[in-house]
Amino acid sequence: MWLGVALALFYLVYLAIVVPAAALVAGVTYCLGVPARYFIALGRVLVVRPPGLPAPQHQPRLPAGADPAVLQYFYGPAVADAEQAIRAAYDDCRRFWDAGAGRIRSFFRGDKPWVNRPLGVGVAAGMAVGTAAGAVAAAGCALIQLVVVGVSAGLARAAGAVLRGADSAFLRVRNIRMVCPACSERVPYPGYVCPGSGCARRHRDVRPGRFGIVRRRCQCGTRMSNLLLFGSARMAAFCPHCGHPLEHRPGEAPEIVLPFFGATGAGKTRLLFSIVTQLQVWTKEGQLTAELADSVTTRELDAAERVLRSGSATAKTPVQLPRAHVIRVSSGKGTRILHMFDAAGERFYHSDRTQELRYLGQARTFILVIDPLSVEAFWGRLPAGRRAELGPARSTAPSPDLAYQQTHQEIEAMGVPLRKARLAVVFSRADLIGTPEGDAAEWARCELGLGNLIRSAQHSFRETCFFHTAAVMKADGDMDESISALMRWVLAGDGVALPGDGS
Amino acid sequence: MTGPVEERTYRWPRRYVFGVTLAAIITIIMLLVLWLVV
Repeated sequence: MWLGVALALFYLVYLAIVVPAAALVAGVTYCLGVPARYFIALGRVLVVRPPGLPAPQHQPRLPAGADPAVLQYFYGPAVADAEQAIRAAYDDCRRFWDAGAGRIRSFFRGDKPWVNRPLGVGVAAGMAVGTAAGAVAAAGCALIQLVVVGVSAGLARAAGAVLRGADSAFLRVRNIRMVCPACSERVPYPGYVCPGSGCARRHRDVRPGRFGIVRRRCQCGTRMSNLLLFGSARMAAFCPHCGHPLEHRPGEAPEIVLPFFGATGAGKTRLLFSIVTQLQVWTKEGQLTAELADSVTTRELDAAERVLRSGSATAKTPVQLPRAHVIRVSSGKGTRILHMFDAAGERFYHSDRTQELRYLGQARTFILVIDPLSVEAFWGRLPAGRRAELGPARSTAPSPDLAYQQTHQEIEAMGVPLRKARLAVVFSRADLIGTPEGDAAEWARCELGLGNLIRSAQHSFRETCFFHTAAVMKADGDMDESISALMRWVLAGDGVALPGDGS
Repeated sequence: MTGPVEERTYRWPRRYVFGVTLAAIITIIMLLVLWLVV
């Protein structure tokens, strides 16, 4: 009997030691093992990236028509990674739990139940408590990871907003407003073609956002600058409205829109050619640098000097919507990009056709070209012999008043603040009729009978100036001085210093 | 699995999140220990 009591006491001592010890070991193992498995899963998902990771259930998706770029990490993929890490940790913990459960079952199935079963009970109790504590610790770690992701995402968005603001401020301070030479729409920001070799993916809006804060990565893997501040102007740009290539590197310099308007045959194209040729003359003399800024302008204006030198007539301007002639002018005061629009005179007789000239709404300086010979009052006073001589050069278009009034109304309707706009009224053919003495406006009022036009222009526009121009080249290759005088006045409003203006 | 371009793009942001998470957890544990000791 005493032996039985001794054995029972020994067994109780055994239970008192083994069960708590087993529970403690199992509890500590699972309390540390569960968060450790979370860390291991986090490392596998975020650092090692072995094949066979569980796929995240919620992969971030791009909306239809989005740019072909890789999403910025904190705009979706970070949350998908967090979910993937939690799933991987859960799978690992399940295996860890199953291994423990298998060990407990083996304690209950062993051939020494009095010895093994108390061990199983202790391990089971410790495992339950340890797993619960470990799960709380792992959940805390996951929460910390989500907080890190959330704070980083907030910082990324804030940094993107600051950079966008800085870039917009940079453009505003430098007075850079971009215009598409093809569709004449204002370009808030150019789109860019991926510079990767063999990749022509087009990115419509590269500014900081869901595809990158400082840079973005095209789907081909090529990195692209996100902002003009960071040199995105070096990439091939295109208009986000019409998709037309913008070869003049928009965003690098302020742009000046110069619309020429006036009746058919008034001499707009010839005046444009003269301005281009004068810029080229100054370039040859080293007084400034003017370059034709895109291939279409180069093709159309390369022959300007030849046409003026030969004295031949310019081809009639097609009635279709005009494309800007883009010229980059660099002088002592910096670089400007000129967009010179030369529409056919027929476009200024009917409001529906004038309305299509969207570029009028982007301009702040306008050039009205008037052929004095087209004014009946002036023509009628010329001697018959002079009329016969000048007849071939005369424009037979309607009165210049019509083109002026029509365009004036449309410019106003497009929301241009005329009290801030400038108008150059150019009387062409000074090479044929000479340059009258005295004030050009007074001459136009008296000789041409354009009093209403003159009054309206002077009343409506902030600044109006009148010029007589001779769009001809002299024998030495220089242009007539009237051209440079006109250019100096026109471009002075935009802070362009031209040779001879004394600034 | 994401494509190779994404893998390359996200390499450093993932390491950043891992590192910051680890640092935050270690800091919290140390603060807890400090709080318990003091």
